[in-house]
Amino acid sequence: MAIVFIRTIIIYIALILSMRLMGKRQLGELELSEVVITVLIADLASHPLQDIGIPLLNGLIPIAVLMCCEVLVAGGVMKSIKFRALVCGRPNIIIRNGKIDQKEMERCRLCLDELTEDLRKKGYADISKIKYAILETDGTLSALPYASENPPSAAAMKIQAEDFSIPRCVISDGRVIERMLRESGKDMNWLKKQLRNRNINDPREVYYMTVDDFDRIYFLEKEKK
Amino acid sequence: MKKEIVFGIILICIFALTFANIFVLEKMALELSALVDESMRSAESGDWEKAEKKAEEAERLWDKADPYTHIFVRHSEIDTTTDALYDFLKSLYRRDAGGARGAHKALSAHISSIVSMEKITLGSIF
Repeated sequence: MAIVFIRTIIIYIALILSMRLMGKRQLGELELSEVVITVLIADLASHPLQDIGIPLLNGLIPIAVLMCCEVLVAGGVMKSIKFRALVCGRPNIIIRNGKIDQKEMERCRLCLDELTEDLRKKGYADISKIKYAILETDGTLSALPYASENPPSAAAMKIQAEDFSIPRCVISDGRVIERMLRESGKDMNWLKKQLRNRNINDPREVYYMTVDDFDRIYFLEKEKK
Repeated sequence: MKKEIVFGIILICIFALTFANIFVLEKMALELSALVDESMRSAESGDWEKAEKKAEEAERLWDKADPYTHIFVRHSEIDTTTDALYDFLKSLYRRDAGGARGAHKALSAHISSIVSMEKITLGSIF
């Protein structure tokens, strides 16, 4: 049992490291090569865990090899368009000028139900309102409606819209995140001043606080227990 | 690009290490086979003491290789080879020439299978 425990820890660390090194995409929508790697790694890792008669290296070496291959393939995909097309495929235009390309549907093995379901999820019930629908290389469907179906933008309506920036979390559940504070060009003195203005003496009394590039602050005090 | 180069080098290193593993296993198997074969020859010529000595030497060599083999060889293969080695020793202690011949054949087959399992051949790949 102790062996199984130690092996599980080692495989777990190896998986976390390899997934981390492969990048965030592994966690979101996957490209074909990434799906293959993810499925393979999950399967490879389980064998030495279940059978202690198999050397742990038999699980670790394939994981390391797959990790290296994935990094090399991802590098090749970044550098060469041809290689990218070879590994990931090309996006397929399923709807062109409001008309479904039936040959393309067949080539992508996409049935009408799947297409209409995907479009409904994107808020389009009427295919004729879509100028282009593209099946992306990661398997997701992008729908681009006719210009007349697009919601008007502030620029189109000539409205002066307030610009935005990403708010940075400077206090999370009572903990000051100094890196975010530095990134937003602030320091502890600024933070203390802001807290004093809100009658707070200790950051631990704050549940959530963010600041953006326009010095707009979101502040939420911790609830008293 | 740096990342790709580093991972390419790691991949090459792993590949090189797999060859080093084959080399180490092959060397160990050759030494083991030589001792076992010499032991069998001695037993067939009636020199049972020398046969026992060589077989015990083979046993020590196999035990010495245990930390390595346990990491790189399937444990079931190690167990069957160990059993075959003790069967061979048992036949020698009993002065049973016929039994020793059979045990020697089984042991030789197990030793060569450890190496052939790791060797890169079409058969082992597919």
